[in-house]
Amino acid sequence: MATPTPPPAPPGSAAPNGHGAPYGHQAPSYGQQPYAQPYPPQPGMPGAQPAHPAQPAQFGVPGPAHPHFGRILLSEWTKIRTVRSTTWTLLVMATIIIGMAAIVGGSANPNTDPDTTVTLSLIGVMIAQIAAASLGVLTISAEYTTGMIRSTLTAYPRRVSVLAAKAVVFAAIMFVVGLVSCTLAYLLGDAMMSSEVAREPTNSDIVRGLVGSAVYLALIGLFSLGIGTMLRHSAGAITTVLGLMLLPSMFGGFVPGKLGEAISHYNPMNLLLKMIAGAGDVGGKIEPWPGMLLMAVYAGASLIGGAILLRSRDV
Amino acid sequence: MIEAQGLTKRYGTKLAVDQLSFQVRPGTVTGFLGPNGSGKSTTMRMILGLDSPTAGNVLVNGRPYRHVAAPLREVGALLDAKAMHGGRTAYNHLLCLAQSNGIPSRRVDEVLDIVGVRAVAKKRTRGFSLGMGQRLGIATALLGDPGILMFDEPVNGLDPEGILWIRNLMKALAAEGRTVFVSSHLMSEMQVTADHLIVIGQGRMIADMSMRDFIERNSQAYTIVRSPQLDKLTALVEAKGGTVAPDEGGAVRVTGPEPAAIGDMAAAHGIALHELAPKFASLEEVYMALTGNAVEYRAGVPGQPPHPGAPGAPQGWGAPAGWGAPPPGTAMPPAGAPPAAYPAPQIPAHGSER
Repeated sequence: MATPTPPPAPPGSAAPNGHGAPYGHQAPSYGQQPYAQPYPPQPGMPGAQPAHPAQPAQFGVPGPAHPHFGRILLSEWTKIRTVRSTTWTLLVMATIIIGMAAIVGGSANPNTDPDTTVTLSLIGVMIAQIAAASLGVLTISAEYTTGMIRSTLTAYPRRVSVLAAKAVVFAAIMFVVGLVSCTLAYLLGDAMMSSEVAREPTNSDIVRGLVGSAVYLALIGLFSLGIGTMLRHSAGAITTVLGLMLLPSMFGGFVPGKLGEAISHYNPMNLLLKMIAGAGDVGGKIEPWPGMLLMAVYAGASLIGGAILLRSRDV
Repeated sequence: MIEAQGLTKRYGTKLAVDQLSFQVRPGTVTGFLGPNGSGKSTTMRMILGLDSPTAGNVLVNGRPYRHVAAPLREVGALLDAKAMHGGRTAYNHLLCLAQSNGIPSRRVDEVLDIVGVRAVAKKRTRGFSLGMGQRLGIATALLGDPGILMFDEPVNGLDPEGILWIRNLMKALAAEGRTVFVSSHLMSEMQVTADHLIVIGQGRMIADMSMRDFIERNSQAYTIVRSPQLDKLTALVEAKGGTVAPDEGGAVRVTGPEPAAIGDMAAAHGIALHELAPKFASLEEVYMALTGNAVEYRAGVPGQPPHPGAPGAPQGWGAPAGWGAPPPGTAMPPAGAPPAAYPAPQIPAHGSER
């Protein structure tokens, strides 16, 4: 068969190519134009100028190219501070903690065996942890629901480092905001409550309550971050975390035998109560700070599970 | 340089990508062509390390993507326009990605200028139109000034101005010596953009060759001839080994001798010619013929015969009337005419979106 000889179009785009330029006035018709050699951009065409200045063969923004955990840390910090949900969730959390201190401070009744002012002031943390958990889940699940995760992992393919950076940034924010909120709540509650409704806490009570609550908020958030990484779905992950947070403390007592006892003693809510109220006032065999260690184990296990799945799964 | 070796991806029992081996070289625009659902996006995700291959491997500049330390400086990719958090501003979206690769923040301003979204840089991307999202996605790809660029269906949903802009951008990037790998399910788009073609269907390689070779090997040419002395001319053509078939309106299609040879023959024998028009099978037809039996999702078009690429359809024998063919009597425009600023009308005869 006789294929018509094509015009001697150069095989590579680098060669100068005058084809087409004289025909700039021709009506467009490219269903029938197999030999159109449209490159390189023709001078007569609008917008044909290179978007970049011509460069030598070396591409890429200059700079050290070794992987750098500091970079992904900075990136994750930028990410978390530039979405509104972070601000709102943190505001809700702080409002609950401080607001509950004000409510309890104004309404506590005289009691024969009063709690300390720090215990009563920090009641709000039990509710505010829901906000911490939600933010923990959203930190990763929002990336999946929006598709941002593909941009993130294309830019930084070391996936476990990405999760680690998220965890560090999130935990730091949660600890700082938690500590500030709890301190304000305590100062407010302590000022409002008379010695008839609450007794004065010792210094160790104060440190345990304030620092412990902030640590707990960071840990329950990290636990949620791990769950969010595993489930990748905001609503599903938040529901799961809430279930794990609330159900054991509500129904642990109904489970018979040693299992029920373990659930009642070692569930997150009980570990938090230990931090707020002290070992003597709350049931359970575990001491407050070892309880936080257990909480850290929960968070660590959840993050490790998330990291394993994040590494192996397709995005 | 992108090199794939026996790249395979299996989802359950479905083979999405089947033993693809290819190279994408610098300095050219390589078109990655296939019907919807043929495995183009899966292949691109495997190149970027987002999906793990079931078998085989793919290297970027000689390394697996996951081992590249600052990948944005080597590879820029536009996979989908909305791979961003809608609540974050365009500037902050680019900033957080730049920071992860140690790219200075002034580069963010630069790419915002290049793609022309500087004016909305401080706006949340949720409200962006598809075109704006696409431009921002391209800004992401250009952040690290990479030597390799990948675009997955970049013109989808864009207006003609945006399409022209992306085409010219891709050509300019390749002309600078970069590797440009762009997927599309539209042959007409590739025809005006790509220098080299990789065609796949149902995950399998159909063709891997330069655009010119692809056209030469796959399109057949013929000549429309009108003459009051057709009988005489027919005898001459057939004596030279050509074939003559009737065409509409008393014209004939001559296959074999080139138009010049037919004209010379006619002149030598004193035969009057009323029309002598070279025709080529359109690339759309070639592509449909190639991928016709590799189309996974096919939508029937009521009241239309099967598309010309259906298995068994003769290749290269003209487009259906009124489809891209110049009106009778117009000569074939010279090769090398510039690409149209507007996309050719697409015939939705094959492949429906998933």
